[in-house]
Amino acid sequence: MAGYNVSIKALANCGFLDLRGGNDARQACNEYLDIVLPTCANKLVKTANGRIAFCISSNHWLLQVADGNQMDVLQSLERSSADISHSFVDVSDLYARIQLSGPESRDVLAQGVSIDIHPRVFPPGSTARTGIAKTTTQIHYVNESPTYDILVFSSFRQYMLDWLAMAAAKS
Amino acid sequence: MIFIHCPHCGDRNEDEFTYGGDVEHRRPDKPDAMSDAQWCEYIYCVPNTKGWAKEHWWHVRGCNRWILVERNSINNELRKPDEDSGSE
Amino acid sequence: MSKQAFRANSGGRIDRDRPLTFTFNGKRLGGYTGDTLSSALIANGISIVGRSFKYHRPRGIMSAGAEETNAFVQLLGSNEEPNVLATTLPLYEGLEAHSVNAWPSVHFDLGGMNNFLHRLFPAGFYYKTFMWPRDRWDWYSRFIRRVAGWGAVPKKSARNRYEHRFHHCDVMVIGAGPAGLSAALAAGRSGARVLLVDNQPEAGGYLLGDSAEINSRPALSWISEVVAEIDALPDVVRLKETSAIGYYDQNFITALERRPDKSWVKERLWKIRARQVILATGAIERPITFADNDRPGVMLASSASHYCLRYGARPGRDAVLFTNNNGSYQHAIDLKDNGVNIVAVIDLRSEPDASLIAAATAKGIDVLLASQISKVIGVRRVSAVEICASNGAGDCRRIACDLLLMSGGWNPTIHLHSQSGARPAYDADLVTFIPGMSVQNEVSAGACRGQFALSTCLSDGLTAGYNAAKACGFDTEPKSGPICAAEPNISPMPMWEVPLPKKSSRAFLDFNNDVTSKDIRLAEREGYRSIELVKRYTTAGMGIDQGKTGNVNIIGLMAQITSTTPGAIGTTTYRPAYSPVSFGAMAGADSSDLIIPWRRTPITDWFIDNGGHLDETGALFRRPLFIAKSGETANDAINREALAVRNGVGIYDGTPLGKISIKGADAVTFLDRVYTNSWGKLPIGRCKFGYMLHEDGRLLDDGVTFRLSEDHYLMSTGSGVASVVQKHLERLLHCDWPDLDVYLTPVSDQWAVICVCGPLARDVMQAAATSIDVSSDAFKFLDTKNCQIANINARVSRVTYTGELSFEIVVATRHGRELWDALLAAGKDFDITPVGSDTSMLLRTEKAFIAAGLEGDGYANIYDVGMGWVVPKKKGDFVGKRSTTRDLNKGGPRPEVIGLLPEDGSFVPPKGTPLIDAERNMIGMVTIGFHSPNLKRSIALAQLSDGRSRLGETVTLFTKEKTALAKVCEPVFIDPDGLKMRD
Repeated sequence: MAGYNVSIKALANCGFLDLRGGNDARQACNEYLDIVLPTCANKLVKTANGRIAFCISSNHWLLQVADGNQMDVLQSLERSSADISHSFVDVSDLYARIQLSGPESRDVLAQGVSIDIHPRVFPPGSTARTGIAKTTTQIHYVNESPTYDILVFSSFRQYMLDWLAMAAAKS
Repeated sequence: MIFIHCPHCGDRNEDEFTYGGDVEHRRPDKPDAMSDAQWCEYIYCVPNTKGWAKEHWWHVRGCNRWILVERNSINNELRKPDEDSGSE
Repeated sequence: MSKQAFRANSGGRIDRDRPLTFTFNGKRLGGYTGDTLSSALIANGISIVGRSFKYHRPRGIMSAGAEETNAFVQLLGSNEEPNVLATTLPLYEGLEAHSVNAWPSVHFDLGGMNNFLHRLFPAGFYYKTFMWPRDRWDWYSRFIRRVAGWGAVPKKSARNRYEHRFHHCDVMVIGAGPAGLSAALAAGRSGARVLLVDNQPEAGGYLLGDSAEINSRPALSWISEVVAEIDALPDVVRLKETSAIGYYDQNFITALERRPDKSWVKERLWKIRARQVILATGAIERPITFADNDRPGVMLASSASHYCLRYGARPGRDAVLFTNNNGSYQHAIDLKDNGVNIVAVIDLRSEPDASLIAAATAKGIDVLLASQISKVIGVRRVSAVEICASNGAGDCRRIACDLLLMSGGWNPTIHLHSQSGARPAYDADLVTFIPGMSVQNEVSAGACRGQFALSTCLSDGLTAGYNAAKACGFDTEPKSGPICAAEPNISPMPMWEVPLPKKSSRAFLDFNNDVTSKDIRLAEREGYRSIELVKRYTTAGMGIDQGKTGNVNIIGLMAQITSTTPGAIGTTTYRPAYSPVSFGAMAGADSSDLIIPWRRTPITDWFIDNGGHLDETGALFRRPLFIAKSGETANDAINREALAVRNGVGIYDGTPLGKISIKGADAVTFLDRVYTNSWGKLPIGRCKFGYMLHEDGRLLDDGVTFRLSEDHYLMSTGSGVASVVQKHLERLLHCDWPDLDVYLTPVSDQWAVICVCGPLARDVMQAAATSIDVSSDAFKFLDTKNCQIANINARVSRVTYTGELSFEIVVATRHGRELWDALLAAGKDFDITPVGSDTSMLLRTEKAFIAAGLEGDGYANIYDVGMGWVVPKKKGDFVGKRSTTRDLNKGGPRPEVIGLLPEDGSFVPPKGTPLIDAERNMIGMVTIGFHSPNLKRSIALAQLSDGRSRLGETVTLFTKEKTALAKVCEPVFIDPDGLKMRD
């Protein structure tokens, strides 16, 4: 059988919010979301109710919530940050979600990811914003099956699917 | 393929970044106070240092932050700048 | 099929249970699994494998490795490939190859005439000969081109897969000979992540064809033990048939893997970042420069013994060794022990190591000291050599032989070290170049740093491995290394040219490009003294082998000729790739449509399914230029679409527009600084047209910015410049104005944008169940309102890019296609017409809506393009203001935008057509021209010097075919007062 032993799936939409601001804004978000937003780039935290907050840098986060909840969360965050310097923007349609899983996932990813994804330095729960082939992505190493969730800007969705399929030699 | 140290993300390949020019090349605060000749000097005579220079780089395919990099234009050696990196 | 007359009955690492057949130059031959093409050719007694580049001299196999300089073949079959090295090509069943550079055959080659005419072909001949008469050079060059070059480009290309692979490691070891294996073992044992690459199908390096012993046992058993231990270490990756080809900044290294583990991948290009690098790349034996040293049957000594021991292929029956160093004696002895008769050793030196002379003599080998080879007899194969005393005393004697081994010393393989930015250093004792000081995290171990004794290679490797691992934080107790016999030093004698018997004799230094010692002397005489000039003038070192065997000899000869040292001459610059790499491997996925990450909108699929003629339109989008109905030409479609927009209703996918969210207390300050106009008074819920300039006054972009809330704006930018504008804004904000409280969030892909435009646009909006009143009074020009259309939440603005009544509808991307389909359905009764980019360009030309990059090119400022109205009189500083003021200060004629109506209404002036005055000076340029179906004639926009004071005049357009006249008019052709868009 030609091809790497992987499966590639397009995932359903999630709600996404782009959160930016200094310490005050971060505290306000922490309080409302009951979370501790990391200040270190390329880290994530998960909440009890399945939300994920990706830290893109010390003043910039991407919050993933269940699709449909984003407007409520956005409005509540706005209310709690009325006098604080911040920017909260709905980006739920900005990102498309793709999942790469299977024993040879890293053999596929390594063809286009230039950062070190060896499990020793990139264990489950790791995330990074970096390039895959010719586009920018947020990579999330979900579990050891191995499963990687990839966020890509939605206009690049088909390119990413095509590239992964080519790298997996499934096309 | 130089390996740039982003203080937020760690070491990354240069193709994650966009070069943003020499830090010496700051936009003047009062362009109206400059003569035409001085203004042209700013626009067209951009620093092109032979040797070590501090540069702005934008980590566009990463944390999206602007960082400071000290690079030797002769041999692409890199070193961490002394002061705080980045403008924010 | 003939017998393999030169194959030993036993021995070697070939698998005699798996014989193979192959074809060379049409002849069927036999070999074994484990052979290379060259070892199989040698076993079959093939002497001539090719013809030399210029002189078409018969050539045989000179070496056993990647340094080979003669044995290039055209590999035939479904994966046809030119210029394949026979010495590194593993033999396989059915392999078919033939020689290159010979016609009709390698045995009878008409090109051999060049050899007799060699006086016409010295170095740089093409600067001197074939120059008379001067105008005949083109005629000569046609023939020269036909005979130049080696293999042929395949007529068909096999569709192979080439992969790229990024890899990170703590320690990278390059070379799996004794030093490399020791280094990888030591580093691997410490737990570090190790990558070991070697360009051979099995590890062991030169030991695979050598008689050396380690720990009193054959070296081969040491190799298997070490390889087994290395392969069992979980964090060590060992690659075979993988050449490290390039060493770049900060320990970035590329390596080419051939025939990798996955059968569907032809080659894999590894892109490696290593914290520490250990170079264990060995050394290459160099030829001696003497007359006719290029004859078939002349071979590097170590290569000959390698063929014999590793492949059981004897390169000859009776051999003579010509040497200047101690290292070669063991090879002669090894050959003797394996069935090749060594008649004599001819040593240039008078005092080689005594133990070696004794060992040779004990095997019945005659050792002649202080002697040299003055003649090689035989053209198609060596048949004898003439030997004389170096001091000329006594008579010369002839020795019959069919194999002449030569050993002029050893060159450490310092290429990667030099590519890393370090400089080589000349070692006068070793008479060669060794690595100088490292400039990256890299160290050389073993023969590649001039340590040729096996025991030193082993200990070097161990030390390097432990040190490299330790530098990465893996500190372990080193185990003791293996033991092997002491060896005498190489002690070569410098000899850069054995005196030639006749003036016309040719002694070769670069065999690949037929460069002789005469050529080097010629270059020096003509003033080319820098080694870089010698290289280019003679082409020495520029062939496929890149001078691996020749370069040091050339440096040495130059030093001798100019009475200086090789160290003073220096080396030429080493550049990647170390060995040839296919374009396919370099391209990887780029040899497919994935070379460009094409972006899509939610509507792209509809265009693909409905006749959209997609093409590159900037920002990585492929958009429809027009949407052709069956039977329509491009012009038919564009004209139909343009008529529909002005007379009915069109629909346009504007999703690629750039969109940037701008939020913060200083948002207005920021907008005021980046736009020419002022933003403080824009009410919430309204939008405004803005113009952005580069700092040097050139037009950057025009767009519409919406005020969404108190301190939240949404900027839209042209689709082609979206990333340019983003970088422009980011740079200003973060580098020049870091104190502004402003956040930029790019949201281009968040929103789909569809424009409905034309006199019937309102009707379509109503038919699509828009939830608000879209009548002229309720929804005014530049209003922005939230509503629902076909039950989809939308934000609608009355902005226009076509000059018609226009509704720009913004919805979340996931609803884009649904909205498009709903609008098409709603517009069916109104014959709604999808419109492409070429059409919208025509429509905007009819209205002369200025485009940055077209009318606003590198010369024009905001006033030149007639947009002075965007700059309020009392505006403070903004980006581009100072440069614009400078233009005004300078005065003088300006390239102003005007309209053109060609006298011949059917003549469409192409973009770039010059406007000329009576003296044929260029006074302007057409920026765009179209046939306007709405006006039923051609129109154009142009820059014209002081154009605004020349309205009504006639100007001349200059095209390739003819000149044409056109009337200068106001730059607007339809609805000059803009009534339709404000309706």
